[in-house]
Amino acid sequence: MIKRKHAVYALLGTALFYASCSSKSEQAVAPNIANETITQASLKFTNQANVTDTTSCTYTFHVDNNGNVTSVDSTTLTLKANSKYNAVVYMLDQTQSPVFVVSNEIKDRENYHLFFYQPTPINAAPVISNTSPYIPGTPVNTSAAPLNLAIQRTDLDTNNPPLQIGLTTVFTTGAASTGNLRWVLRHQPNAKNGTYYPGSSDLDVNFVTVIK
Amino acid sequence: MKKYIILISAVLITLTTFKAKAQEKSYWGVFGGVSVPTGQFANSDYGTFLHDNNKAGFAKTGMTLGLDGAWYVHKNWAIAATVSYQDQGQLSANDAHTLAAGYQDAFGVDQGAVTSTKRYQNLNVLVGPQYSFFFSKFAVDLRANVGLIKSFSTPQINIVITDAGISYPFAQESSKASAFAYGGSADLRYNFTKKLGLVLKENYVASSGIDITNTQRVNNAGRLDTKQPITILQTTLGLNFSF
Repeated sequence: MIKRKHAVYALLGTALFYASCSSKSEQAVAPNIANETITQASLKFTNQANVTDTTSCTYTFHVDNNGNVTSVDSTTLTLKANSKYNAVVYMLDQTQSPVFVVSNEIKDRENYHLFFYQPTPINAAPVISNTSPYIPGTPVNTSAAPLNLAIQRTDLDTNNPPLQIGLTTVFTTGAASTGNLRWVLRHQPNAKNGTYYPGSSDLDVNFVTVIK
Repeated sequence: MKKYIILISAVLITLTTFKAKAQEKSYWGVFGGVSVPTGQFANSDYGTFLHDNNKAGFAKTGMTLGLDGAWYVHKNWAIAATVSYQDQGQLSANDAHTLAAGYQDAFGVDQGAVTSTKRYQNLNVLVGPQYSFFFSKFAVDLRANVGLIKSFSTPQINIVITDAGISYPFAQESSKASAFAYGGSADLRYNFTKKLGLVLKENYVASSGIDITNTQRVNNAGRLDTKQPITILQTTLGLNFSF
């Protein structure tokens, strides 16, 4: 009987010893890697009233062999007045061979990317919400004629609830006017909530815009 | 489906044995041994981009200790019960690295960092029918089990992804949840005396999983473990005492 008790005590003691062992901490940091390079960013437009009426605007980053931007150029965005255009984003990384379609990668990573489109000048501050494609803090200029352009995003990601992405949009033009279109891609890893501020910008460019 | 068949079989056989008269000597015992995780519980793979492995448990081979008993109610049939404690280890530095790199890729960020503390520690409480074959001083016992896994802790995994100098922390919390478990065992007993014996046992325990809570998860991206399946195979050696 005593032997039996000793065996039980020994086993229970061992169990308590293991149970009380404090676990150590393991920590690891993955190596730093560069984000994807964008060498060409385009918006391609199709007039809803006439699918043969297409246009586009392109912003190009010229890079050296080390991937440093040496110069940039952009084309003018020209749209017809009082029209609606379906727009799609097309982005390339031409430093890779074959050329890498970055916009496809953005689609794969849609749950933490968000595009913003801001026409300027504006006469009044735009309404900002988690479905607004406009950039908060854009200066209001009441002395200049506004660029008569409104934008709506038309695509949704797979977050719960879904949030807009901005790879596809509808551009609605008003009367003839000129100005700029600021186009921003926000990278919001585990922070996307539909608004502009979380995260950082992967792309921030301007197109001279003419509505005629 | 498999677990329901085992559950129903265990209940039916247990009920049918209740009315019968005991024929063999019942026993209780203590045991200890090695507990080996299998399947997804043992998996240490993050998965690939858009195909994250949300069920990989990163569990390690550990030890088990427990109490066991069988009460013979009709000839070779007994009602058996086991209470055991298991430790299945914690994440290694390599595991933390695997997760850090996986989250970094999944969120497309400059850097991913993972810190893990706490271990897989749980208690299994299992009951079921046992059938024994007796050969002189030897006995072979076959048992089906159903019961509960009660987790004391699972690894706490703290993740910080950093992009453009901005940090975004989130975590997979350690769990103390309970879950249904099932399994079976086979053992070989040798009786030294009328009262004392030695038992070598193979025990399999499975559970569809204990609930895991994740905090500060804003977006649907990267590995997200919300239910950790558990499957273990245990080899134990113990002493049993007849009464």
